[in-house]
Amino acid sequence: MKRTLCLWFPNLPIQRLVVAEPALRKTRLVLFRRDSRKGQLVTAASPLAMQDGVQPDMPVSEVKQLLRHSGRTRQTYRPSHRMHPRTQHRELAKQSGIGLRPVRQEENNNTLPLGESSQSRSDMLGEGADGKDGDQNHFYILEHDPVADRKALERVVDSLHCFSPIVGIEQTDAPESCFLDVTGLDSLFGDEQTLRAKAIRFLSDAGYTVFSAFASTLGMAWGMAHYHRSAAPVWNQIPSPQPSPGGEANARSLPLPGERAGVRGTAAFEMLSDKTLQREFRQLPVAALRLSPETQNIFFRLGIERVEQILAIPRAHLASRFGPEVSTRIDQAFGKVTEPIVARHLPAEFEASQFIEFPTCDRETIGVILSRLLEQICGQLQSKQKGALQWRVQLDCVDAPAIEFEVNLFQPTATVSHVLQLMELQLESVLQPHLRRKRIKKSKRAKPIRTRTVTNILIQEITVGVTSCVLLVQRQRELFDESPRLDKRELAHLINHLASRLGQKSIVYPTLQAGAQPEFSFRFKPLVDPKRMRSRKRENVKSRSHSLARPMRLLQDPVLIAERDALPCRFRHQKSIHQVAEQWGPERIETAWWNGPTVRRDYWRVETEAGLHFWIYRDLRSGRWFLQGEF
Amino acid sequence: MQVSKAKRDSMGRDGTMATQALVEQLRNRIERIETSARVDDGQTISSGCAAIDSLLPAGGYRRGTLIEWVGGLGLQHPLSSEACTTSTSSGGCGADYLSLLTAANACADGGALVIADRYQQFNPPAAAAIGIDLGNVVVIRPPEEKSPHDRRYDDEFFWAIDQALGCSAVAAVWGAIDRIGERWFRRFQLSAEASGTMGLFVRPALAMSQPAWSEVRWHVMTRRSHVAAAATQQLELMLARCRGGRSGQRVGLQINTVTGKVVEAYGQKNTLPLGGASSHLGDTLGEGADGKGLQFGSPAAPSPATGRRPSQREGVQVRDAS
Repeated sequence: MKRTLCLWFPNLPIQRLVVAEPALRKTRLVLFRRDSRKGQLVTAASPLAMQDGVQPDMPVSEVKQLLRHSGRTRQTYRPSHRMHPRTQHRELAKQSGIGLRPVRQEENNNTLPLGESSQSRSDMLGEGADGKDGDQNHFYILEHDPVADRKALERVVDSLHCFSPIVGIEQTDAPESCFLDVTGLDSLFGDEQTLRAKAIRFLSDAGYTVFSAFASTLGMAWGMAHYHRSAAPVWNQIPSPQPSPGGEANARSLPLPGERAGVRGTAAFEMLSDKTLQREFRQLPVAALRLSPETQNIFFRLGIERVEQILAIPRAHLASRFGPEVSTRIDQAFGKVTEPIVARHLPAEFEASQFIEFPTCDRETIGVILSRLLEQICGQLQSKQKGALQWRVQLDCVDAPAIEFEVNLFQPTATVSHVLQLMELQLESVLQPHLRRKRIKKSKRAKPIRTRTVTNILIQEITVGVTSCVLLVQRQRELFDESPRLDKRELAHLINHLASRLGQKSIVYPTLQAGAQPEFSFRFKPLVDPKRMRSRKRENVKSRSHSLARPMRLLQDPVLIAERDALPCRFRHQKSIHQVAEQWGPERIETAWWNGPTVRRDYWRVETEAGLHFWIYRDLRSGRWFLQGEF
Repeated sequence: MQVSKAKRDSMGRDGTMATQALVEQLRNRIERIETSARVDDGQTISSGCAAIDSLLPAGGYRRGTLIEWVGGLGLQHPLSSEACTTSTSSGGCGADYLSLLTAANACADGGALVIADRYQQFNPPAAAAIGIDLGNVVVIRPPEEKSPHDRRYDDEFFWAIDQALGCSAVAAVWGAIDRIGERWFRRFQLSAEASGTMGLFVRPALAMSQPAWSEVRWHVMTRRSHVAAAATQQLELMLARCRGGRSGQRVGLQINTVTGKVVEAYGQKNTLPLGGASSHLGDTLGEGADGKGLQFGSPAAPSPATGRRPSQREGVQVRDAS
């Protein structure tokens, strides 16, 4: 039977910020979003801010007012973050990058001197960390960054691959949960509860608080994790090397966000049998079925609060009233419709790894192992007639973060020598900061016989995987009359080679764009790009202007040549003065209003006394003359 | 052995004919020895203008060779100060047009065109208008964080050109190069010969004083058009260096900016309006006559397209400079 573990990160936007910036932990933190009609609205708030009465969807101006009189409305909700991140995790969190904007630092009814209010963010944070009393009165209003949230969640979820090979994030706009396929994995960890405890411990080390639940379906696991009392993390079960700053007593009496379902946390993980699970699930609120807010609202108005009440309604009525949504969700929760986990990284089809028993720091050894792994994979690829487009290499190190890099190819290949060459190029640049030369002596007396390049870090495991591969198209070559210029493999070789040395962004191809403004009538796109469409189709961009009237060289930044309105009779360009002898024009261009501020220009082709032809224009808004092209 | 046999055979018939044939034969042999490394299918690439082709010994450019166009400021006033001949700009003289026209012809059989666009000035719409298939174009641009004017970027840039020249799937490499070391140039030549790729380089006036490994080098000198009504670009090409050909030959050209045709300017003499133009043309002819090897193989017939005045419908409003 399939078993799924759902992990829910309650209040993820706030959790992410607090993980990244532990000094924010005891502050009032409010995140807002911009609404085109209602202005700035609260998206999420830290527990302390919630205590002061901040609610989601509240206008930010109201929040400011409210927080000025903080402490008046006190609720029983208390912070549930346990903070003792290890150094490694803290680094991970720092990468998620946040921008803090201290809005105002105010005490109750006290105005602050100007100098203090303009303190920098780091000062304020530092002060907050030092003085606990001052800490309580800080509040921050930050803009919510859903993309950073998503990225942080992805990063955390990726790290959960040590618990399960299939890990996925829930498919919503603002995901806060992830699913782990733990079918048959309990034996590896002892039992399911140990697995769960280890996962929770792992995440709490990273600074995250999670609610978790097992079930046989995604829908039920999700509902249980969000709304059942057994989902809450149990602190005293998790042995912790460092006690939380809040203290054990505080943690035990920790009230939980699960209270919104009317339940309270218990002291230990409950092992629920499948039958109990279904029974418990029926008791949960309607929202446990992952319904949309509108549907939930309708049920609320109908007085339907629990899942079992919905189940009592005949299916036909549900379908006619709510469409397929409710029925699908019920079927998904009870396993009548299968719902797969949308996995973050499927296990690579072609992958090879080598565990080095005695971790090495020798550069040559790494190269040899790499080539051996490549041979292995290329053999597999060739037997399936496939070619790899994107390779991923991971070097696991002892006591250091793993080194990862990707090798992107222009055309799929399964040739060892070709890939190895590109991989070595990349490896060289990746390992550069760690490399040093070491003299190897045979004996103490003898002179150093040779030097070896070694890395500062010990490498324990090397993994090479193919992240993207396609079927190789073998074209039979003709024996005669085959022009070498039609050999696209040669060209692909060249492009791969150039891109790996000069960088992917340096090797580009041009595409034409519709538009009157000359500098935006084309665009360059990188040739080596895994997301690129495989074929370069011919574009038929119709241009109204006569393209032969375009110069061969278009200056990236037009050069100002005259300030006056009249056509200049002489101008300075590239350290010499040109006398205008003839001019042809004007050709007027105007950009479309929907592309931002309108650009209006009159273009002239001018010939200088020396016979050189230039392309100049007059900006009709400012009346100034610019040189933009050379014929 | 062959030579002596040929000698004996021909001596019997006619003395002068024999000498000529012998010279021709020896020339061919020398050429074969000189270019033994070259991948040559005997095919020639047209320059896009019959008058230019006629100046070249093979009637066009050969694959696997380097061709240079030297132009821009400094070439216009050959007797002027040195400051002009050190100009690093080659824009505005029409050399880009002629070289890309050659590139378009070279790529006609499906090979790729690599544009080494160091200063990020390549304009794809104009290239497409000439007839270059943009689907076959690969552009090398310097990374954003590096300044193209930085001399430290030279090595990477030239390495990229060298790699492209050494790739047989590339029909031509086009680039505007100002300064280049002799070694790199020689490497370009070897790579191009080995793969059969053409190297087309537009160079500023300062290149005149530098040694070159190119097969053909043109000096592109601009002339005033004196035809106010028609937007045409007048140039004069001088064959400064050509293996197996006579250097110093000149040809006057006219690029019609409406039809894009390149024709010999003298063929049009009759259709030009009188006035300033005639005196100018006379000057040019005079210059040509002074040069020792003025030979025009077969002057191109005036194209019907260039005979007419360019119409105004193309978006180029023509302004009368009365």
